[in-house]
Amino acid sequence: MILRVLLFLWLAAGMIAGFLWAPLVPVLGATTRVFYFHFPVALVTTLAFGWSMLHSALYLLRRDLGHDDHAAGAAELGLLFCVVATVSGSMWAKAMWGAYWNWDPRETSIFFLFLIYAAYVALRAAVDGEERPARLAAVYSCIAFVAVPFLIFVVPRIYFSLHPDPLFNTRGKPDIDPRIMLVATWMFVGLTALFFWLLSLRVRLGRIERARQDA
Amino acid sequence: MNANVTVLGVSLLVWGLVFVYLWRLERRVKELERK
Repeated sequence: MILRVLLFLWLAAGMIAGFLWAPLVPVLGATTRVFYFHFPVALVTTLAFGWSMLHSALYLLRRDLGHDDHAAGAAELGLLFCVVATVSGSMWAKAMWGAYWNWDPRETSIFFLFLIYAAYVALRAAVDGEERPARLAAVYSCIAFVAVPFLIFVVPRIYFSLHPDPLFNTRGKPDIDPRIMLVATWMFVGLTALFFWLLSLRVRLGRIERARQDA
Repeated sequence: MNANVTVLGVSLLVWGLVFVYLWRLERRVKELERK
């Protein structure tokens, strides 16, 4: 439980630092602070889908339903974090660009990602049984993840986007104030820990439910 | 009190409420695991 309390303090400290210590980006003004939430949440979304793909592949190799619990839990949480990233991004878009949604390449690509993983959840719900939905969802997750790096990292860089420039310039160096980068990294670490806590609750509940069905 | 501190206060409050919810959920899951 000490770790949980540390997590609470870690994220609280990150929020306080973001609001009271880190400087503002001149062009973004007060909306800079959305960056400490929106950007780490989007990264955790990618991590969650990657975790789901990894455990889907492990399930297909070992046929251990524990891996399926991880795959399903990570995909569901990834979907949740995807929605949070999209909503926080659209609030930021309203403040910066005057409209909640512009069909900007990055907005469009995260919307496609949302649809892909919403379909994963729908697939699991539509198929009865234990092994069959696990197998179908595992195959789907492995294929779906092929789209993730493409949609998150490639598409927004191919097309002109209203979105802020990439953090790294052509020399490969961070193009951002170090204090801003520190707070963003701090929040990413905290939100990753939060993701794994939520995932552990989901996996343990899945195990309890299965044990009750078997009993 | 400026807007900055107000938004920070609301964020901390929301995070605190989420944390309490998750803490209670963790305790419930531990109870179920013991049964």
